[in-house]
Amino acid sequence: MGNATFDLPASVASSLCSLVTTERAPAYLIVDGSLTLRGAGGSLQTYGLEALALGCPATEQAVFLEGLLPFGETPLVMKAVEMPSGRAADLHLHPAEEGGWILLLDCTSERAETQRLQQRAYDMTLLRQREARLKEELAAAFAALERSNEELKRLRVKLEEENLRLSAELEVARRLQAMLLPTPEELRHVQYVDVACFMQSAAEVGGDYYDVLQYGGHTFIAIGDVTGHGLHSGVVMLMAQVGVRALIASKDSDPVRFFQVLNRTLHDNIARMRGEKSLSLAVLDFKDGEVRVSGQHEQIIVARRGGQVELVDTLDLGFPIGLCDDIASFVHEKKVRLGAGDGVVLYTDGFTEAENPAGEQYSLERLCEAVRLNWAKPVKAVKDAIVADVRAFIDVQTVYDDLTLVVAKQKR
Amino acid sequence: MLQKKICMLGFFGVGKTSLVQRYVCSVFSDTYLTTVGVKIDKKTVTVRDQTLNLLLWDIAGADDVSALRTIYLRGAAGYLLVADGTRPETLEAAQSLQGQVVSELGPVPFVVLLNKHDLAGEWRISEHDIVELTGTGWTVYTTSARTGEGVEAAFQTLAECILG
Repeated sequence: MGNATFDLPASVASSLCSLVTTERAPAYLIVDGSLTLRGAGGSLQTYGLEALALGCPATEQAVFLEGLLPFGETPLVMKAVEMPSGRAADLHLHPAEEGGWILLLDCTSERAETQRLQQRAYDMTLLRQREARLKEELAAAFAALERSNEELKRLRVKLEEENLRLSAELEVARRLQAMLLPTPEELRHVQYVDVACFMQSAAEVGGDYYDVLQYGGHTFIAIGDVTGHGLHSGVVMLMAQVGVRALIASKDSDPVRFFQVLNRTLHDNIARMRGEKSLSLAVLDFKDGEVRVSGQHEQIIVARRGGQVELVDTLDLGFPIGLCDDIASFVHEKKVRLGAGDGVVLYTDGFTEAENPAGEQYSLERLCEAVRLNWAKPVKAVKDAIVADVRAFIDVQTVYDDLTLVVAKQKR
Repeated sequence: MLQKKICMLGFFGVGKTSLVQRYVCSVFSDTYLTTVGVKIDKKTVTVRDQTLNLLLWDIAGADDVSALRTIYLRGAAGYLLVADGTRPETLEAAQSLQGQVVSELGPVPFVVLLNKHDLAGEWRISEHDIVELTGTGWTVYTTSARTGEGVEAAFQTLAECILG
């Protein structure tokens, strides 16, 4: 008995034995040299080992012994091995002369306590590791964000430069549009008709064009609108002005030849510009109480002395300039007689398509009504009244296109 | 019946217990419960018409403080070395453990499981790392105790290696 070894009094040794018996639920297995289970006892039911069959291979009866047998030369302790019952036992393997024995001591409470502490420590460690990983990812995301921010700044600078360049281009286009308009002095000396004109460029210059020319006893009024906005449209408008003036100066009165040459010239130049621009253009030739109209543009408003208005459709009188290289077959001419006080009102679609804050368009109907109501007035007053009417209609709405208006009234 | 002891080894929290639960009971739980000591489960497999009882020793994970208790390895016929693919440091730990196991058991068969492959967004082990591992002669499986990916195959491969 151990009391001899540890020099314990019998009462203490007995108490110790009792303590181990009640708190550690000892059980034992005896295994012989052929690894057969020879004996078992103690609190076997604590570990779910109550049905052991003696005389059978030990590792078949207690699978946790697989690999542990045969016994080694020295005793060994295997801590906290979960038994079939779910309880944990410390296994004490003791070799003996023939085989050996295994002592099982319950350590379920100890294991639970260890698990509680270990769980807390591991949970904490895993949390810290996760936090560290998240911080790394956050730092990486922040760095990526910084890079994106730098890229955005770079793009913003580029955009500002581009805006600056576009603004400069628009200013050039606006000046091109304005510098070749007929002067008030020219308009005062026009034969046959009194003329009043108005042009207002939109923020993104739209490429509107009009001209009033006096050649060979004829008065010519041309009006056109280049597709698109900006510098390219302005340049096409400039080319159209030069072309129209040159052709009129050449005194060739054939509208087909006029439009064919003009179209070919602009078509080839637009191709050089690698643009996709075209131009609506109508040319009106006034002489001796008659106006000859050719070219495709908006409908022409013909106002009679008493205020009645008629519309002349130009759809069949031409084709958009610059769109294809041969438009000869589309060009025709229409003649309109004008008596004293009769006249025409020409406009670009900036007028008819101008929108009010509700999104409604000014429309050709409203324009005709404004002409009818004001036609008795002198041409400048007619022009001012129409412009005032459109502006009142537009109100605070943004104007997206150029506004061009030409009022011409047959002199008395 | 033939019985073989197999040990589950790896750093704490890599999913050793979950892999055993998936393999033996076909279940998975999201709750992490640390293992103390060892839990032993049994799974019967068939390898080339031979029935074999695998005794799966799910050994408490190693950590930075506690060294592997090599006494648990005694008599193991093979082992599964588990790492968490979302924590690269657990693969380094597994490589270190492997050295200790060889000292204790000698060259017994083993298979490496890179677990938690279902967490694709958090996965931190590259294909290149895996190629390097297999290049050293290791058998490597990417596994997921949650989905079951690779689990059956890894255990079966080890069983086949043990029977030779």
